[in-house]
Amino acid sequence: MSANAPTSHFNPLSVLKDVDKESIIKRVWLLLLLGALLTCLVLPLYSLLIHSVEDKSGQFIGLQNFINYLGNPALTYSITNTLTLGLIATVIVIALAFTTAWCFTRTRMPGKTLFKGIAYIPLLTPSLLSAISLIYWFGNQGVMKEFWPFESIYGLSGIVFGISFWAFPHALIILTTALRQQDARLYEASEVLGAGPIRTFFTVTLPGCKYGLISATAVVFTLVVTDFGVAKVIGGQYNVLATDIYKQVIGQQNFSMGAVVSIMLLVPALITFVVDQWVQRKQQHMFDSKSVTFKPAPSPYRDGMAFIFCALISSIILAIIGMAGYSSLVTFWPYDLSLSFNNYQFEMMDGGGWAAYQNSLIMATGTMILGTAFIFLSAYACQKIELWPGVRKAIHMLSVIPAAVPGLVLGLSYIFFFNQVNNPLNVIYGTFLILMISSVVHFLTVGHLTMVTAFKQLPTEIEHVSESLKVPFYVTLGRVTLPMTIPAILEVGIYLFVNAMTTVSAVVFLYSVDTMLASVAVLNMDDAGDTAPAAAMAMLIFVSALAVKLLYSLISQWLISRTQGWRRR
Amino acid sequence: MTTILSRLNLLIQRPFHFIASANVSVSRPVTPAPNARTSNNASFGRPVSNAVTASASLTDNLETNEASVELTNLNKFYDDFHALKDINLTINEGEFVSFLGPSGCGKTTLLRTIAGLETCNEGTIVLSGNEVTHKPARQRDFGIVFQSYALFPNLTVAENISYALKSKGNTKEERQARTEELISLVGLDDLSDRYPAQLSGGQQQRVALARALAPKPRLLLLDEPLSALDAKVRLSLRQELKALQKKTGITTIMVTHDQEEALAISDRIAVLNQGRIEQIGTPDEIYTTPATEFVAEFVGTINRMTLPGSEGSMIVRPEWIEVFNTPKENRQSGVIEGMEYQGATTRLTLTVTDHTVSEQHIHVDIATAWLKKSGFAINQPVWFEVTHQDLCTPQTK
Repeated sequence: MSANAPTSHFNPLSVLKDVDKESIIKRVWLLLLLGALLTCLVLPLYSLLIHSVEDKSGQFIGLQNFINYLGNPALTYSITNTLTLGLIATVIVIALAFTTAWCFTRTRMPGKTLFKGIAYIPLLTPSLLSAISLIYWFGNQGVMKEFWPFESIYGLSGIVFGISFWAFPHALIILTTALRQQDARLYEASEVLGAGPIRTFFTVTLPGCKYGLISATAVVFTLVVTDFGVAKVIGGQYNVLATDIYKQVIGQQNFSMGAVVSIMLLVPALITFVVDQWVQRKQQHMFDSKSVTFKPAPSPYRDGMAFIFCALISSIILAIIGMAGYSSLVTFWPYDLSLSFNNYQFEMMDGGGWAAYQNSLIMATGTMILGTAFIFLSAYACQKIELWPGVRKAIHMLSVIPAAVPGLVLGLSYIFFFNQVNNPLNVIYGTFLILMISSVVHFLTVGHLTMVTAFKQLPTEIEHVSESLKVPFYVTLGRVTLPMTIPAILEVGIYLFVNAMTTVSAVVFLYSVDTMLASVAVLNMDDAGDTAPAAAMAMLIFVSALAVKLLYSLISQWLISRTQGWRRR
Repeated sequence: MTTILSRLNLLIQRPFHFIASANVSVSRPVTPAPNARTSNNASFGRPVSNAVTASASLTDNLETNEASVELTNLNKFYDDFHALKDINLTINEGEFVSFLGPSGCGKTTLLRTIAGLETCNEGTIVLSGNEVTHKPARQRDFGIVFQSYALFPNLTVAENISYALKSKGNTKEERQARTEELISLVGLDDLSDRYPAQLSGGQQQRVALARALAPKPRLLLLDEPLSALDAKVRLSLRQELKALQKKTGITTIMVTHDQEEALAISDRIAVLNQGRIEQIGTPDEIYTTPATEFVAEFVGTINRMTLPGSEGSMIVRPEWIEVFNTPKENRQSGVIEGMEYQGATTRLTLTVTDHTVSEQHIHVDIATAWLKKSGFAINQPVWFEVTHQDLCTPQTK
């Protein structure tokens, strides 16, 4: 080393010298993430786009498919249907979820913990479960058939009821958070200034959570218009875009038209996605570390009303779950109401049997491990690696976009991309891996944002300090960053597991004979008329998700108490 | 290489072990000529002379372990915002320099640029003769302490302090000895198994300091290290910090917005304003002969007065004026308009009634004991005299 060389002299090697081992690792890390997201999200969606402008033989035909589609009233009718369903269900869900969230955060009603537990039950069920349960309540052979106020449960009203049950907790989470984040000092100010409870509600509560309301509306609307499980089971003749995609692809093998309908379905999802993104950005400035949490004062009348309302909501949820459980145990509905486990003998009927259930557990576990690792690495890259801001921004964007891509659309795009003969990646087609990858991508957004938030809460100086101490960044990642974010990592893990366990939409296009899944089995058995076994399988999924969640929270508690001792003062 | 290897073997008290003649190692390029350290002069780390001749050989692994810092024409832009403007500054080995200025003046940006946590658009940074302008932070040699402590929350005090030692390949015993040494150096002997959340702010900042010193860096960077602490803790930690710096002799740069702190602790102060260094000097130079209006205003309180026999307006500190009950030659008249009790001293605001003084109001600090004795009261006519005229400097611009 020539120490006496003048420092101003340009040395071509000095450029290389600065690119040391750590920078290389970081750059490779970023490139791998970007590559993975391009391969598993952007390229598949691109193939979908391409197929929508090709005919069945693969010839480019411009917008002819779209023209055909829009010229076919039988198909375009679905657009109106989907929007109608979306509007009605969204209004109902938001109204109910907002009231419930208000009861949870602004009253001192008894039984709050129990009500909260019940309210989140639908998150653990496949959306098909509520539809099957409704058939047993109000269907052709339903126990309360004559009490259904509308013409028939098979149609718009049934879909609305079923999907509202399933979408309710999603809205509830957002709205409870929004209401809980409101600053108690504003309420004190309002009271001191002489405003009554009603005026306070309209001047403080409602404006304070308007972003939460918009965000919840966007999320619910997307869930409702993109779900196909409920519409498939209980929709009858009421066609929506989601069921059309399924019919075009599975029923008629018309992949191009499937792609066209997918793009039609992407439009509303993208619009709500943009709205939600815009709102999220606004929301961040609402709550600061100085804000005070609101603690409601006792009020017997208000608390009593809240209790009645929440008891009603809880009863409906329990009634739906309960009926699914009961009907799965009834030997032969409605003729032999004796209880047995006959419907759980899945090996006796088509649909995949217990193997499908086993496959689901494998797939969900794999999704959890693969997804948690990926999300941790990508969120870390976005928040903590101070290189290539453009690439990091791209990774972040691509991790948020899946929220706007309906599962069916993602699944179909995977067929187009991974099933190409000339794509070397087609070896994963028909394997567990493609199911896991599609599920990770499908549920990427929530996990990514959870992890990013956790990283944001860590002081940025941690990396700077360790760099000044000449400790490689990956050592600090392992010794400090990872242990500190364990609660968030666990949260992401269980979220992925439960959703992979219950989802139908993306995987319905991707399973093979060897990788049949429980949730798909529910769909197929119901399709074949085996409604009771379908209910049994749906219940099995619910019970498994519940058990895993409970087990998981026990393990989490143990792990957190072991690793998070430093949080105690 | 020699640098790193040699440093591992040295104790923290190393400045006392060196004699000037053995100060240069081969690994260090020519500029600047390493400064000699006279035997026990570490306490006031300023170089005495540049006269150094060194017979350095490859086997000679002794050297000064403090870095010098040379900043030449540093410029930094955030889009349109010119954050650092033509910064030229040389910090000598073993010196304690403060960057003082109001928030947004660029002092923290300058510190982070030296650390390599920010990049500059123009200029060069030379640490101990090595140009590091475009090197990442880990390839520079410094310890840093932040206002927010930035301790690793999930590691104990001992684990925090020994954090950097693990990857250095030294034995467990060496690490333990070094950690214990540092823990007692910062006075946290009984707290080594505590987590940061269980410590007070002052204790956390001591841990941060020990952690920064653990790998024996040659430069210590302090980013408002005392600003988050209570007034009392701030004062005692300030004194300890200065004692520690003297003891270790490590070249230190501290960013602060507190002028009193900067005056108390620094060998030299660089006063920054709007991205520019307004003045560099000893605390006394900064206080008594401020180079610019801004420095005069920012560091302490000033009066601008025309004095008998002086041309133009002079800068007069409030404590350079005395107030009396009776008139006399050279005393000017005024009326006490306000009194602000400050404990040991009391600040009087006088309305000047004497037409020979241009200023309408002046501030005067007098000992509270003197105030009580003389029985001054609001609206009382008094006579004042600038008794330390020799200290006053003409107002510059």
